[in-house]
Amino acid sequence: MSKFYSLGEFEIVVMATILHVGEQAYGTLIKEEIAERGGRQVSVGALYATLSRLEAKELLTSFEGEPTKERGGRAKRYFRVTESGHEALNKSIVMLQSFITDLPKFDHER
Amino acid sequence: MMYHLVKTFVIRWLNLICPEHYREAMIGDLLEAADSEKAGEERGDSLKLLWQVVLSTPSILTMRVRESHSKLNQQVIWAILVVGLSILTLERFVFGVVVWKAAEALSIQSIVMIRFMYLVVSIASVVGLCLLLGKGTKFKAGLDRILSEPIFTLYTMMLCFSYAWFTLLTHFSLDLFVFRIIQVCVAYGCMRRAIAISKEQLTL
Repeated sequence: MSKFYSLGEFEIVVMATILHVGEQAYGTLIKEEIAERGGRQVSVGALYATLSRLEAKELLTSFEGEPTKERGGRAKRYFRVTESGHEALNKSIVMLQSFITDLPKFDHER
Repeated sequence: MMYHLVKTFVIRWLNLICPEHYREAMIGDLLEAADSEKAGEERGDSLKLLWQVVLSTPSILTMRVRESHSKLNQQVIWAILVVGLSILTLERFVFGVVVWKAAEALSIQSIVMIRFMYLVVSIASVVGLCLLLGKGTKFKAGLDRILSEPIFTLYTMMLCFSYAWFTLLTHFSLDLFVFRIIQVCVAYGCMRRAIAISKEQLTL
């Protein structure tokens, strides 16, 4: 049985975004999607720090694309969620849901 | 011309600090984020590119440190020193000039008074940064942003440490002792916060 990694909030956001974006998921697109869906601006450095950590844990895999003119001749790196990534993401979401369901409502009048 | 210089500097800097595995992609993404190189023309927003690199540098450096399993290699140590000393020099130079010019204009000669003015300018810069990031009116929102971005936390930390260090080096007296203790406590708090943010972003 593979080892279960409990994902952090930002790791969940990044992995879910990669799944949303699909086959074209690379740095800039992931960053833009996070900003659009979550209204959260992240720096390229912070994003890659998370991507590299997830890749080191084998929850993501990446490969280099072709260099393009628009990026100063630099190649894109595409990211995919691995099978163990899917598993970790599902388990983390289920765990998170068990904490947030049936939360008592916050009483503003109190 | 200006953009070309900025881009050359940025690429050299990123070549130095980025991990090899992601180097190409990170440089490409940063250039893309600055809307540069559209249609192959060498045009772009220099300020935006620089700002993106400034925001990304602390995370990249921390990533490098973690990648090398806490064994700092020489390149990373140099990079951290350059960033730290740049902030320190900029702050010392800018605030030094502001304070001394103001002291001259107001005919203030007391060193205690000048140091007090320096403290006021330092605090004003942090408050100003909070207001700037809180879009002019929301101080709390700006402060939250400072505490959630390593680069701003680093700035506040350097500010407090540099002031405490400067006063300790130049003249030690009891009159500012309480101030120094507060500064060191704030700097220590900022440092703890910066480490917590790094851990949050890097090891969750």
